[in-house]
Formats: sequence, C-alpha cells, structure tokens
Amino acid sequence: MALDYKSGLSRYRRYLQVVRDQPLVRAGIWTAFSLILVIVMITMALRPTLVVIAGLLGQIRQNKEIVAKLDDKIVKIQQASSELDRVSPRLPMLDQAVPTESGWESLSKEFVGIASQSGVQLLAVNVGPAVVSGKWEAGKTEVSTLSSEISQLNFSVSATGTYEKLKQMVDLIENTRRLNVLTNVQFTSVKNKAGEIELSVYIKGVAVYMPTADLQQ
Amino acid sequence: MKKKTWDRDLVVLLVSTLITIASWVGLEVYRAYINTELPPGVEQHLKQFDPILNTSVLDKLEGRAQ
Repeated sequence: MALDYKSGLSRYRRYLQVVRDQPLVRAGIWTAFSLILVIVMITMALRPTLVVIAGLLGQIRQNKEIVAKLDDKIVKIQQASSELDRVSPRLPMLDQAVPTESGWESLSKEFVGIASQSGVQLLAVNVGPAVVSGKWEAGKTEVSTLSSEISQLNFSVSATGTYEKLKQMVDLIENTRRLNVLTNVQFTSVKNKAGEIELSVYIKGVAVYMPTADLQQ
Repeated sequence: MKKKTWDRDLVVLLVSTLITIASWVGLEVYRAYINTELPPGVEQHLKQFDPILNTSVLDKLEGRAQ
C-alpha cells in the first residue's frame, strides 16, 4: 500500500516537471487563436449584422418621430380650420379693404357720400388712371412704400366749406374701409363769385387694389 | 523564454486590435442608428406652422368707417 503511494507520487512529480513549461505556451497560442477568431467574427459577421440592426432601429425611431410630428400637424390643421371658421365672417372686410378691381366708380360714389355726410360742397373728383388690362407701371405719383403686388388708383378731391367740415371730410376719406393713402392735403382760401372768402381743400392720394392675377401668384 | 515573450506580445497586439475593432464597430453602429435619411417628399409635409391667425388687421379694419 505504501509502495503504491510512493510510486504514484513519483509519477506525479515527473508529470509536473514535464508539463510545467507547457501550459503558458499552450495557453498563449490558444488565446491568440481565440482573439483572432473573435476579431474575424466581429469584422466579418457581427459588424454587418449590428449595422443593419442599428439602421433598422434608427428608421423605427425616425418613423416614430415623423408620426408624432404629423399628429401634431394634424392637430394644428384642425385648430387652423376652426380658427378660419371663426374668422371667416370677417374675411370679406379684406376684400373691401383691398379689392381685386380698381373700382373707380364705387370710389367716386364713396367720395360723394363722404362730402354729403360732412356737409361740404364738392368741387371736383378725379380718379385714374384705371388699368383696363395688364399692369400699371410705377410712376412718380405713386406711393413707393407699398408692396409691388399692390396696384394703385390715383385720385384727387377738392371741396369747399368750413374748416371743421373739411377736416371731417379728410378724416373720413382717410378712414374708409377701403385703404386709401393720402399723399397731399392742401387747404386754401379763395374768393367766391360774391366776393366772400371761402376755405377749400385739395386732397390727393391713392386707393389700393390687388388684381386677381397677383392673388393667384 | 524568448517564446513566452513573443506570445505575450502577440496577445497584447491582438487585444489592442480587438479593442480598436470593437470601437470601430461601435461607432459604425452609432452612425447607422443616427444617420437615417428621411423618405423623399416627407420633409415638406413636416413643416410646422402657427394655427393662430393674426386678426389685428381685421380689428383695425373693423374700426374704420364702412
């Protein structure tokens, strides 16, 4: 029994002496092979797979963002629609303020009505030039601060009366629903046929309108 | 002894290469996740707008004589 134990121990010692130098070498080689295999696997197999998966995840994320933005836009469109319904009864005012046609006739009638309302005697009303077709080329008399899409209709009005009434007439012309720009307002005193001195006013300005062709653009 | 040094150098080199490749793959994956192109024609539908109408002009016009 003791002899077997000794022989076994001596065999084990010999084994350790032989193997002692080998494990590190073997482990180093296997480690190198393992690392090379991992590198090859990462480069050739794992990288394309991960890139494709990441691309798909990115597309999913982007599609979620697009859906969220479109939902937000749908809500805003609904808000805008309800807002438009609320405001639509007032929108014809814009057509009155900036009509699509020159409307020189209605403008003349408006001046006559204002003169009657103010209680002044209307001496003259000049409106023009009215563009029948095409577009009016800007001239020296036009208001250059207006947008190029806006067309202008020149007018001049002269009337006589007391200062308060003439001033009221100027205020009314300036504050009509249709947008007018007064370029010159001139008060002068003149003698009438009876030799009395009367105050008269000369009002010059432009009425604006936007032809339909410009609206379509 | 020389053999052991050579093995150790090889392992260090391979580990460095592995770290570099892992970083490269990580950056590639990140770039693929971030750089996703919008489908054509979608961008114009994503433009946002303000649904509130500016009615101050209408208020001013209402204040003017008709």
